[in-house]
Amino acid sequence: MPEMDATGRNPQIQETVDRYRSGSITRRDLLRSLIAATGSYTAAHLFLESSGLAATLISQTESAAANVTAETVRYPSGNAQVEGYLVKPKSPGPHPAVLVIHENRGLNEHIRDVARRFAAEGFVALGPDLLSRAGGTAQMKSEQAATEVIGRLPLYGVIDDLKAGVGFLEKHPDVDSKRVCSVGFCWGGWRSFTLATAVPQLYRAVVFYGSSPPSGYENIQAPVLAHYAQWDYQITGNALWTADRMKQAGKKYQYYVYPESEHAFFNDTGNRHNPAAAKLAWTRTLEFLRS
Amino acid sequence: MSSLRLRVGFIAVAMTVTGGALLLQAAPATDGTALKGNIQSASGQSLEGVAVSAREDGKTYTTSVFTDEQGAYSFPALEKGRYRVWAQTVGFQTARAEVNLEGDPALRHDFKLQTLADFSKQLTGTEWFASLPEDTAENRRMKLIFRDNCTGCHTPNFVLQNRFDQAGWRKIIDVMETVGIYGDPPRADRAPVPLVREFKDELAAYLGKVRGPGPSPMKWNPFPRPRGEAAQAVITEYDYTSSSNPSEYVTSDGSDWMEGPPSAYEARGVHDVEVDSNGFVWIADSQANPVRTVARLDPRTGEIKNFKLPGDYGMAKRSHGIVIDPKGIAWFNADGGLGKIDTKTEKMEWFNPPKDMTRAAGTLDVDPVGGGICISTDAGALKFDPATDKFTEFKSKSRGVTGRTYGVATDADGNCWWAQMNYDKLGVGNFRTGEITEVALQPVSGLDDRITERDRSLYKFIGSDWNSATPWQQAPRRLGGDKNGNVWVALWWGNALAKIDIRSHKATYYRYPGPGFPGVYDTAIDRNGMVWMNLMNADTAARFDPKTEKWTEFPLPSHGMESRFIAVDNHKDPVEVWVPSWRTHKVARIQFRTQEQLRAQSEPRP
Repeated sequence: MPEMDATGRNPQIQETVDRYRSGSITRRDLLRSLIAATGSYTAAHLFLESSGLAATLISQTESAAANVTAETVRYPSGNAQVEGYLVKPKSPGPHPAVLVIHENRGLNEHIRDVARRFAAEGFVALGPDLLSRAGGTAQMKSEQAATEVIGRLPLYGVIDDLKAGVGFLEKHPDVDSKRVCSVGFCWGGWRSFTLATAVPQLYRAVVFYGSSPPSGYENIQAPVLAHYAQWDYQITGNALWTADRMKQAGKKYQYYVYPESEHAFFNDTGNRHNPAAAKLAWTRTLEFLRS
Repeated sequence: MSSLRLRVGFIAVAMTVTGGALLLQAAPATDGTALKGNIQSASGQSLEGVAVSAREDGKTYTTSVFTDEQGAYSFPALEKGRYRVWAQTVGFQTARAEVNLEGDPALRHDFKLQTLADFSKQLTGTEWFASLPEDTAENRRMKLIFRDNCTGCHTPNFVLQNRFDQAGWRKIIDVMETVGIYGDPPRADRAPVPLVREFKDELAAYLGKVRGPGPSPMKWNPFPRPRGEAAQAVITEYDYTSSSNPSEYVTSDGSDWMEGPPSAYEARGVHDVEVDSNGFVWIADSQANPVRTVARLDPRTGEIKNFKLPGDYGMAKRSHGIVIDPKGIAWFNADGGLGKIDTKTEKMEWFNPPKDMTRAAGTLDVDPVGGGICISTDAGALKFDPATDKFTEFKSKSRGVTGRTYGVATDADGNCWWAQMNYDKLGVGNFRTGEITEVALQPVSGLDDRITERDRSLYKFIGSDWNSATPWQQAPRRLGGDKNGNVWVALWWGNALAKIDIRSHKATYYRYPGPGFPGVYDTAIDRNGMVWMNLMNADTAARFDPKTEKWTEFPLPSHGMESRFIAVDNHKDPVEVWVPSWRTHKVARIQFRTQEQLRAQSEPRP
């Protein structure tokens, strides 16, 4: 967490936020400044979540710029309530929908931004906070705490929360219930793929640099698209095995390996962002989801 | 008279053990007992190169020697006490005795060794590997796949000592492909090691054949026993306390070869060691524990003293590598930062790299020119300047953090070198100018007959990681710089040593000359320019003479050691060599006796 002065404020951060609020710097400038001020990518994102700036100031500003509407929603999953970031096009529905599954840092401004970008492209996008059962990403005290909590989440309990998210979207009046998709990043990539094994009616599943489920391929109905980084040995190296399993099961699987890119190349708030690869992967993703 | 004078002259330089320490001393060695004897087979044949070990009751160190060509062994003077003594060599049962050393100048104890029909568990990892069949093209191919996927994290004998059917091996590989290197439980969402996953069906069938319930095609050919210079060494192995209980030592420690290589379950953590100018040995502990970040061993008594930098949740910060600078400051990595302890005052400090820099990883060296500390990171290396407490980052030119640097070394010009084991490059950072260059190693060749077209396409797509690799991977693991303008690189998968000229960057390769897969892990250069290596799979220290290009191997008296480092004590004359053993949780010191010293110890005392 950022260092505060005697009044509990960090003047450097306050000034940066004020400049963003006034429109003199962009969202990416804001993120860069916060990462420098807090010392890390995760700390900057946690600060935005815990301070509420991500869900309020940035969400309002960026949603207005993208001509979309954004809100925080809750949906039931078993005996719990899962909080999520719901973004919709302003045009009337029904729209196709995307469940945007976060990395192993919780629901943060990067995922909120991706959700807004999907909405700007005509999708209803829901970014569930899969730390909801542990109090929510905004309640995490530190990077380490967030990582540890995520590590302890039950693997298939999270899949249940995602299934409930699909159900929420299917029932949403602005959603075309036959075109609910999932897109997951890193930790969320495995969950996007695994969701396809658990929800036969899923329309499309996209994996950004995530691992593949060990089994269940015969249950998949949705075509799966995967984006891998060339320099992401353990994840990318399993693409051949995955392609073989999907082929044996008679399923559709298309993957791309992006040259000279690293894990998390799509994340424009991280230091491994590869703009060219990210742009191409985004174009391919939109084409795939619309196909 | 002249004969007596000559003998006294030899005694004047004889080594004696005093509280575990072998010391050159001027006084006649009348304060200890020279334990000696002969070793024969049951049929009366003298046995050369048999390891004989002696351990005094209540002590935490073991002294070992080897028999000469006549089957005679001779310990340096041992202090008064009750000792357990055992003799062992491959193919014979371990023979044991208890002796009382009452302070007599000499005591003789002979052993007769009984043959052992199944001696496979006594073999080292490299002997196990050499015993795998190569009679068919497919057996040669699978042997290579086994080597490149199953012997990166542990030695071949640890894997092969047990037998399972194909289904059993398959279940083991299912775990191995996703288990973390420190034994973290497998998770369904963790991507398996890709080459292991691709080959696991074939590996399970192969292992079920060579180490299954039925007849095995393996042919055991034990390597020659130590002789000559190697058999003259004196090795003292010091027990390391358990980190969970400072008064507890491991029991399964590789000292009885008949038991096979031990599990690491009891304890582990002895990773790197360095010796200070007072003879204390400083140990970096790589296992998560609540009591120590580093420890100090007193070789005179075997005492271990723990030093802790507090970490999270009451644990100690965890280290891995350690180095001592000329001022007597020991530097070690600790939880992503740099730890420091003054070896004289025992004052500790911890330095955290700035948040915009990559965290410190597990290996270090001292710049002999400017005094800076070179520290590995996933992305390359850090320089720490002790004069200003300032860090400077040196990032690998290619592939960002995916290089995952392992070893580092500084050279005679003050450059920091780092080994990018998974893509065969060495980064070089000039500590004065900040310039970064790279040296690429040539791929291993000559294995085409063991690679199918499908294998080749898999290898090309998947590539290599540290512990699962393509056959053409050299895998620069750890390295050391000499005073003559070279760095010496241990090539793990390449089974070789590379000399790289620090100015021209020309690389010269010296392939390990023997059979098997010894596991060339680390290098250390002594003050005479000799290059020392720990051969992890062979439980052996090896010396390479750059002038003659001759390798000399010094087998150690424990098996299954899994050493990951080698250190030279250049304060001593002759130099002494230290080999920490991670799996057997000990630290071994090798001291060298000349023929004359050995003869003096073998002769009757005046």
